[in-house]
Amino acid sequence: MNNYDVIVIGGGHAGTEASLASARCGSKTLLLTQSFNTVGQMSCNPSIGGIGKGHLTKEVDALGGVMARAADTAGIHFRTLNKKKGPAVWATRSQADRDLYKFFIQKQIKEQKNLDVLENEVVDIITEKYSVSGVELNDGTIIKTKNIVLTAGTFLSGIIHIGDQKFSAGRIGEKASNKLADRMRDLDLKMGRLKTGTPPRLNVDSINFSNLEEQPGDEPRPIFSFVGSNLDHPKQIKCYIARTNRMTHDIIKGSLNRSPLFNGVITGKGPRYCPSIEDKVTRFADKESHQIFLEPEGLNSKLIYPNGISTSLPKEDQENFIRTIEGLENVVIENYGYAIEYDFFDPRGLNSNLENKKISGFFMAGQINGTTGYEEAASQGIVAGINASLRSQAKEMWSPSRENSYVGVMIDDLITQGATEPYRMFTSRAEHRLYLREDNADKRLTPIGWKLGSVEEKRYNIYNKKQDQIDREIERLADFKIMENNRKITAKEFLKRPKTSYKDLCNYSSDYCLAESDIGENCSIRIKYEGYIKKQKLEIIKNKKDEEMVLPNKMNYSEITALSIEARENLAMVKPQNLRQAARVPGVTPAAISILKVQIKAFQNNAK
Amino acid sequence: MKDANSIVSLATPIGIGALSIIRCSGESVKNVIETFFQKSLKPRYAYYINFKKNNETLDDVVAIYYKSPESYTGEDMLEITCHGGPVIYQMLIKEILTLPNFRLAKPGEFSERAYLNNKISLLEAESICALINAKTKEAALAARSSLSGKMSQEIFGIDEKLLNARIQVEALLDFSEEDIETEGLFEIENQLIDIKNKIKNLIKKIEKNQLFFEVSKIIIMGKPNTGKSSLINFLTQESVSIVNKEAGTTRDVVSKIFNIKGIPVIIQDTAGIRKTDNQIEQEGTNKAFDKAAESNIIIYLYDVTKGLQKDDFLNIEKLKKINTSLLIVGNKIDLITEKLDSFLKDKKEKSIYISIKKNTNIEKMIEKIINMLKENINDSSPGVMQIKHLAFLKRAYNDINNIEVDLSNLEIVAESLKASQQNLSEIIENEDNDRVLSGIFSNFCIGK
Repeated sequence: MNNYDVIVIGGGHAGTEASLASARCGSKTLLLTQSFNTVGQMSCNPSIGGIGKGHLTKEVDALGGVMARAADTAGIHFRTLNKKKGPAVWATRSQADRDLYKFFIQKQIKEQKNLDVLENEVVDIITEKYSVSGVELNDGTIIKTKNIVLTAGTFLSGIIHIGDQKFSAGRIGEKASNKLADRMRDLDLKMGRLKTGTPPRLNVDSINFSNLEEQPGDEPRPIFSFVGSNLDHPKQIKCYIARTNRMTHDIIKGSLNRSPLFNGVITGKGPRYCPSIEDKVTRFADKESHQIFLEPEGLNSKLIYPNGISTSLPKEDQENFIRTIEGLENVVIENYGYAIEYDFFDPRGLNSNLENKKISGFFMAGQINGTTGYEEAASQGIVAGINASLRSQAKEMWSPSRENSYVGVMIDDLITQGATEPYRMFTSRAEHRLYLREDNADKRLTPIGWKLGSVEEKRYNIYNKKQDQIDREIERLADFKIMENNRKITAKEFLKRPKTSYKDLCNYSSDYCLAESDIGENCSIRIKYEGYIKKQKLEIIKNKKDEEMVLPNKMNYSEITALSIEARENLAMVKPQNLRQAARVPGVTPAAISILKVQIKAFQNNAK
Repeated sequence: MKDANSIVSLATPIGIGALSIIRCSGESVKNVIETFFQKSLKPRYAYYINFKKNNETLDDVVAIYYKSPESYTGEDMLEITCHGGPVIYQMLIKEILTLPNFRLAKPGEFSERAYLNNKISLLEAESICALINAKTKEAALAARSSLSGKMSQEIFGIDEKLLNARIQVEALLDFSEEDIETEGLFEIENQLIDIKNKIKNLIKKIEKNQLFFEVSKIIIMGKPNTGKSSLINFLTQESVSIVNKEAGTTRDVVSKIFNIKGIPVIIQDTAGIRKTDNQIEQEGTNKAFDKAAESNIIIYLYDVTKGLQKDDFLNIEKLKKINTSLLIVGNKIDLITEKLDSFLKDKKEKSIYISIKKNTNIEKMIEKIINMLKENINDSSPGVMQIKHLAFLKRAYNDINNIEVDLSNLEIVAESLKASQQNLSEIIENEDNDRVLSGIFSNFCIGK
């Protein structure tokens, strides 16, 4: 078998972005999957984006990834969430046709230069002196490589639960990677167990939509990719909203003892939010009704995904409670909901470039790092893929930062705090929310991606042209005067005010509204937040300084008695790369940071 | 400014001695010299010079400028020796903090910088760390003692309210798709107004009391005709600055401000304590006991010719319960004709014996008072802390002032509330990024 620069294990959202990014960056890359047919599969809800998640999707796109283009090509229902609020929290979300989505991703992989695919099961990661040297396949074949990206999702020792039934699986109908999981245990990485769930899938013809609330998509339709257009979009459909009621809740409450999520069978940790309908009716018992989005799985699919009622109840209980819901009285369940528990690796074992701290050349991305969601997985995947490739070329690796991206926020959160529940992105996690917007994801990341090699020339040219137009338009707006209440103000000043938009300028004269609408909107958003973003600059400079203060890997925290025991223990576990990360480790106070500064200096002095 | 890199702090312990030294370090030290001395100082020369705000002289000081790298920290440094007493140094530090890029030094920061700039040898890393820890503890103590229980309760209350408002706003931003029932924008706006008013009132309160904050309180108690008024007049004869007669009846507490060897104190005279059926007199006595509880030191005066009597002992017992800093002083020792030693035998309470009339043992008593005051005052100055609190409260206020609560700018509201809460956290050290998300998850049913 040939050697590869980079081998990516797993063909989910993390694995596809990782392998494509690695190949784009110029590394000879192999994608290993149990079955190519499942590559690009949306195993849970058929949607991409949402608040925080849309931001991540655009960041993947800005770095040259495929997720946004796939979502455009497969999107059958588009909305901009939070549109009534400010542009920083506008978020694109789409329903996707599963087949179109998968088809697009698979096509990209087939067409990608430098990228091979092999259908096989990996049973071993081979290491030499804490460095990756290859993988072993089920049939005993060994493929050599110095860089591995592991994106095993829920496949490591996955166990599916439906009522009291339980069986080993990676996803429903796919086998778990138990051999690899056993082997991973030998590597002595800190692991934990998490759980997640999925709702039953309903037959569209068995639903009575006539009394249900319609939810049409937005017009004009938002577009995910910076290089996309709404001509990429297929036919659009409507979604519907159904609601649970008292009867539904009573049935669920009556069958809780048969829910493995509740009767103690599942031990993995779930989140503080409410992923299952069992959670919802117990934790918020007063709430009379919960909404369910009925989302079509595709244009030609007979399946409806009822978003909001994921469950692990026995099949007959699922049927019973669902049929109490208006519109679903005669519903036919095609696939039952289930809960799945799986292994994840404590992400505190990773550097900010997603390389394992213990084993060089071993990168991890996606759900195995304790996250949940396609977008969270994809954005880690692209970072891991880029870095695996950079490492194979002996180039300096790249870490996204809290200042330039949501993916930077997520990775920093994961590596400094670990995952105590499946980690999901929220905009409130970001310190620089007004800057980390969907509209400027390309400005934030495309130049970086271009330098790293993951952005192709065509995209970079489009990007440059757009930025050039925006810059020139902003200059023009700063000079243009408009009359308002007998007072002359510049168009820029006008746009700085709340509740003004570029379109409003057209009311003054059509001359003011020269640029294409999206360029104009970009200008007005940038102008609006300019003042707020300047304010944050000082903090960013300070953070940069702390980032430059590197904490030596050999620092023995247990010996620094001036630190509290909690700080010592957490620092020893996390082994932060620099002071900035250290400051986010639980128990590390400002005084502890001062002490660490002194210790870094002492370490340097001793080394001399 | 949180990110400022020039620092200022008081280098000498407060209250003690006639002089205080203020230390500044960092690249903006030159700005202090230009702004307040309005001339340039030659490095390593002592200047006797006026510290001026615009054209008004705040104090005449001795200033020494140390140019980088020839200084303790290795940075540009300035040492200002000003007149002792918190009033002066608080005023000067406050002025320096108005300059951009200046903030109060963190505990042990001068030494930390000295170490980082290779001004102290590597053997001392451990001792620097120990110093940082010790100073941090001290500062925490000072911060706590600089906030009265009531005031910190108020700040915690505001912090709670801000948190609730943030939970509502952030839930609307991050979970607008979930069918959650928030309190609504109107309610959030009301909360914001309430928070603003509360911060504003707190600022007013602190500003009003600031100069007197570090003034220690001494209260003089005792039965009528034991010499309480004479003692006060004697102690304050040269330096009475303010006479404050609190509103009420003639039997209220009267206080005077003066300083004992550089330590500013308020001395409070009380009506004589005696058992009475007169309601007004009884009220005065109760008031005196309330004041005694708040004081740093209680001096209990009695007439040695009459000795401590049954009601004295009752009073002393009562006082000991409310305040442990109690000094019992026997007056009129000049009237004792027999041998003192035999007279003093079998006394249950340890006392100091003085004669105000003949100026006997007064110095000894003052020394004792000063020692008790020193025990009462922490090394790190609460007065400096007070400046810090005020600055952060003002920032917390400005962050949410002029914010219009509207759906169209809700993300700006969220950022403003966050900034405001971060500033409060600088006072009460209550920063926890996860509080908002935890609050959202426990208040609202958020699905997958």
